[in-house]
This record gives sequence, C-alpha cells and structure tokens, in this order.
Amino acid sequence: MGKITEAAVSAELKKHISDNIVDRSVAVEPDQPLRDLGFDSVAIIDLILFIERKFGAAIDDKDLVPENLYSINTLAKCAMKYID
Amino acid sequence: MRAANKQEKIYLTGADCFILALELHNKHAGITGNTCRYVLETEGRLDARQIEDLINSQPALQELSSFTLGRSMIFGLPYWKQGTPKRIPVEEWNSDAFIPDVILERNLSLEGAQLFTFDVLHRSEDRSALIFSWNHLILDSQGAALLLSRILVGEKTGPLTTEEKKDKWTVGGMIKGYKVTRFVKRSARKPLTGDYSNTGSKYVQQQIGCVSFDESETKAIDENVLNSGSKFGPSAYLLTCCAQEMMHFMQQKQMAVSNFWVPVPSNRRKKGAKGPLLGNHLTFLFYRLAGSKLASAQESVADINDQMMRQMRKKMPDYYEALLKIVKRVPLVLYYSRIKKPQGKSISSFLFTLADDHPAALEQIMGINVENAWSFPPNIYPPGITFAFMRFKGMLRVMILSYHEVLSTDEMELFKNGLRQRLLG
Repeated sequence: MGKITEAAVSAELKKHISDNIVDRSVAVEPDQPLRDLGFDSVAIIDLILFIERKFGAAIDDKDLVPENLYSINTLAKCAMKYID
Repeated sequence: MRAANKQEKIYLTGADCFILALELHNKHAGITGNTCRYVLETEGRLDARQIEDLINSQPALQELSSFTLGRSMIFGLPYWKQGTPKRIPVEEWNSDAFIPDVILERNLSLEGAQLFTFDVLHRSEDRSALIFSWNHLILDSQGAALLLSRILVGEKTGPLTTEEKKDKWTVGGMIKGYKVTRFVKRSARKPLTGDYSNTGSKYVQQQIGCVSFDESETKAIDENVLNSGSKFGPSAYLLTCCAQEMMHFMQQKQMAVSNFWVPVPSNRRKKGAKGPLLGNHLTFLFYRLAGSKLASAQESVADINDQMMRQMRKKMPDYYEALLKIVKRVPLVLYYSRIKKPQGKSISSFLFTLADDHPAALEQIMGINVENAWSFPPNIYPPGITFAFMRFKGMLRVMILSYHEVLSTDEMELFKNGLRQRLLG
C-alpha cells in the first residue's frame, strides 16, 4: 500500500461527512468551518473516531484543540502526525 | 413535500414512543402535557388575522392539523392517522406578559382537539409576539423551526415524513438494547439528586425564566467555553454551569447534593436537513456528574468530554436509538416504569438541551423584524427543572423552565442571575 497523503485523508473525511453527517443537499468544502456545516460535539467526535477506524490514528488529547478541529483540512493535517 | 395518503398509517418513531411514555409521567404530576413553545418577539405589530389566513393556506399545516393518534390491533403500536384538516385559529391577547398564564397552562393533550396552537400577543409600544405551542409528540424543536419557516416565510423544507424501514426485532438489535440498558443502569446508579419539590402538590404551576446575552457577552462565554477545555463544542461547559448552579441552589436550601444524572438529547437528522418535520428524531447521551468534580469547571468539563467520547466510541447513541425502536412494542405502562426506574420518582436530576440556532429565514414575519426568539422544550416534572440553550442572530439565549413547587419566583430570579454570572465567568 502506498503512503497515505494529507490530500487522501482530507478526501476520505469529506466523503464520510457527505455520506453520513450532512444532508445530501449540503455542499461540503475542505476549508469550510465545520461549525458552518452545523457540526455539534457528537459530529466532531464521530469524525475523530472515523480517523481512528479508517487510518488507525488515535489523535492525542493535546491535539484536540479548536484550531485542529476547525475544518476538514486542519483535521487532516493534524491526523497526518499520527499516520505512519 | 411527501403527503401521507388518507388511509396511510405513519407509525411513531422510537423517540416518539419515549415521548408518549413521558405523557404518563406528566399526567401523574398533574401538569399540562408535553408542551413545547416557540416565541417570536417582533418590533412591530403583528396582524393576527393575516397570520391566520397565511398559516391556514399552507398544505403542511393543513396536513399536520388532520393527524390523530391511533393504535394498531397487534401490539397496540401507536401511529398517526390522517383525517380532515382543521382550521387553526390564531388567538389574540393584549398583554405585556412574556407568556400569559392562560397560554402557559393550556392543555395540549393527545386526547384534546388540537395538538398545536398559535397566539399573538399585542404588547405596549406597538410590539407583538407570536407564540407557537405544540405537543412534543407531533414535532421536535427542529421540526417546529422548519415548520414555522415553511408556513410563515415560505422557506422550502423537506418531507413531512420519511419512509421508515419497518423496525424488526433482531438478535443484533436485542444485544444493542441489552448493552445500552446495562450502561444506563450503571450510569444512573444511586445516589442521585432529583427531587426538589417543596409542596408535593397534585397541581403544579409552571414558570419560566429567560436570560439573554448580547454579542460581546456571547463572545466572552465562547472564550470561557474554550478556556474550560470544552473542545468538542459548548455543551460540556454549558452543562457544567447548569449543574454548578443547581448545586449552589441545593446548598442554599440545605438539600443534600450527591451526583447529577442528565440525559442529553441529540438530533438524529443529518446536518442541514430540511426534514422530516413530523415526529421526534432523537437519541440520548447520558452524563453522570459527580458532585465532587463540580467545584472546578475544568475538572467537570474534562469528565463530560471523557464520558462523551466513551459513549460515542461504544456507539451508545446508536444503541439507544435501537433500544427505543425495540421497546415501542412494550405496553406503555411497563415502558414508563422502565423510564422511571433509574431514580424512582424523578426521571433525571434535571433536563438540559442545546437547540439549533434560530433559522435566519425567520428573522422577519410578514415584513416585520423579529427582535428575539426563544424555543422552550417541555418541562418534565419531576424533576421540574429544564435548561435550554439556543442562539438568536449568534447571541446566546438561555431558557429556564420550572414550577412554583420547585422554585419560588424569587428563587427563579436568583437562579437566572446566578447562571448568567456563572456563564460569563
């Protein structure tokens, strides 16, 4: 298997959000604030747990900060630190 | 909008059946049903007759007005059946009261003629308020906001109902139900606080308190949310402040404080979804707040974050939803006794909800500016204390619902001020 890139993580997150979290009428952009998509605490945690399941990357508590949980791209960048 | 056929039965969701079981709790306490309210305060005078004509011309409202509750022959499963649409009157009142008692005490029971009502209050200085009241069984708060956006400003919304798959009893579903039941039992183990009644009266009288924050105050609260470590959103901080205020209130009254147990609803609609409107689409997360951890907001928030993460990791919200679908076949009285089990008399230590933001589409009604909006959930008694949070134009609103048997008028004022100061830090 090739090396996982930040862009691939971002694309997987976007697909997960489109398929499972937001209504299909909602357009999802990787730089858009998750809050603008209507994300609440349950949806944020769902995303963190998706990264754990999909990439085996358990993000450390110290990195679960608003700057990293801001958008798909910021979360993907943060997740990369934990992906081998 | 998908319309139900005349003869079509629309079976209640699992969450609806939970709400239905709570009707029994309310009846035992002598309170007026599972009533929710949405209050829209306007800068100008609303014309009640124009509103009446407008809302009654809307197919969505006509359809909802025709629903009555039925029960199937087998298992007695509750369902909505469609009859003849009723004209919904809009009553007019001259009053400066926030919600006059006549509206607050109106019984929107399932046996009554109407499951929702509209009232227009004419206040001094040419201001008005539109109050939409409804039985929680027919709409949840998001469904109500969607309905109001549709019937008042013609906002395009999604379907009235969804074609739900038939819920079947499966081994997988039973295992999920067993796991979540075991979890709830452990989470709600004694000792818990939850009985604040002063009088033990059979008739209880509602009271509400509203706390509003302006832009800069809301910004300060948002900073407190971050400083407290409430990293997944504001709910952990807001819940902590409510529990701290409850503890303070109990200490003032020299009541014993142990642990708080609070079920928090979570909306199951997808984010940005404009439907379905009918019914309740909820599951719950359950928090046990140890009195010993409430001295520090940071410690309490960390504990709530941890409980939230653990429940999500174990898929408890999904399992609870599965459980609600299974137990809807259980006779209502038995179902109700299960709900009450954790605490005996009271169903929780208090109730807490963080509602969606007020929809931008509803910032005007018939060309008149809406200057404030409030969404009130029902207040289950006992415990008889509910905290609800929402945002109007980005500014935080807090609604405290109680009963005179639980908080006196003076105590409600102290409670409002105390919570305001606590949230502002």
